[in-house]
Amino acid sequence: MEHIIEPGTTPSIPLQTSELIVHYAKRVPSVQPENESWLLNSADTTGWCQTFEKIKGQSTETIETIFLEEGTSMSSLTGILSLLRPMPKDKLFQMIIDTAMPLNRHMTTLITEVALHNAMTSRGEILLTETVPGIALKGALYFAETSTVRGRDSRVNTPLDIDVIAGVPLSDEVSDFASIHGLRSYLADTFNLVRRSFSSANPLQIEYEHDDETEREWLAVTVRVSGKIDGVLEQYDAYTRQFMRLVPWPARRLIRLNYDIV
Amino acid sequence: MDPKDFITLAERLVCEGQKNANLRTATNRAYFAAHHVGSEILGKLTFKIPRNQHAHQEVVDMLQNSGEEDVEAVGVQLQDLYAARRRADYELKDGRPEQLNTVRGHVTQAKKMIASLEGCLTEPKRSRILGSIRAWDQQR
Repeated sequence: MEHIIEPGTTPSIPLQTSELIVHYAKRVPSVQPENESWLLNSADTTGWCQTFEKIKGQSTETIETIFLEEGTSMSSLTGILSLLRPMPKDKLFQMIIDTAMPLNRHMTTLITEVALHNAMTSRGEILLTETVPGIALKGALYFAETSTVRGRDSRVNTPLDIDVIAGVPLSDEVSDFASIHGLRSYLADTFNLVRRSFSSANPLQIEYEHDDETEREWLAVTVRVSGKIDGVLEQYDAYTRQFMRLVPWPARRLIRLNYDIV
Repeated sequence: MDPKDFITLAERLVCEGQKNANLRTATNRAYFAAHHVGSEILGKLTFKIPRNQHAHQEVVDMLQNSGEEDVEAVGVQLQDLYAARRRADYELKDGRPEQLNTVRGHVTQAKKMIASLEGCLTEPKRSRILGSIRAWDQQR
């Protein structure tokens, strides 16, 4: 479904924010380096102001370095969370339209961080409502050729039909399988549990797998962890016990975990 | 033969160095060691395990419905290890099954699972497991 919205107008029909973002992004093919006005106008929190002051007037490379050095940049997160959390959808739309925000890569990166941060800290209960992961992931993936903070995977390049659960993008195959078998909420629980259980900063992977031997199929979650083998196996044992509480049999037959110890 | 001999073989394969075929086979052997021990123990508890491709899921399902948390956890981990084994055996372009530490993890994991399973035959645990699986079996 695609809606046509002219820049500078207010959408008169209900929209998913992600649709708007993607639509708008398509209308602005050239990424402007920094469109600062909307940030200035909207920067009503201390944390965000501080971050903005740091990046203001800096070259793209310097800004990127600042974000890289700061990692997730808690001040940015705090600031932008405060900024976006209470904002109703229509105001968010209008802000984006009015200021012609071209979804420059720093913003998409930041918003992605917010979405992931939320997904990780609130066990899937997205504080900013479901719209923010939509903005973040679909918007960010739209510009997937740009680099992302901390080396996040940037190979995905078809954001328009990406489904996301608890911050993890799903392939069509995974998305369909999860919906057909009623696994969506269990997957969100599993992703959050894996993040809590394993000391890994790496993004989770999820794949649909079919076994020709048994003609069975399932979704395989892979977590890449570093550390001593015994320590990882202890984390895996703890994960397993929690997983059994969160995902009942027989649904749990369809979700499997692989750890990669590096 | 004693299925635990598969674990010995898996350990030897890992120790022989980082040959991809060894590592993939070690994961395979680790899985089958745990699977056969599980199958044997369920057999001793008088449950019939099919002698075909359905045995894999049957063992996993019975363990996961045994009513004992540690045994149910083995059931979950056994199906996870099956998925790892499938990747190791069939996904030759996927490099993940060739990670030395991951494979070491699989072998160690299988040994832990076998140790848990061996505790199933001592009373009163044995009777509790027998009752739980029977009840589940009648309902399905």
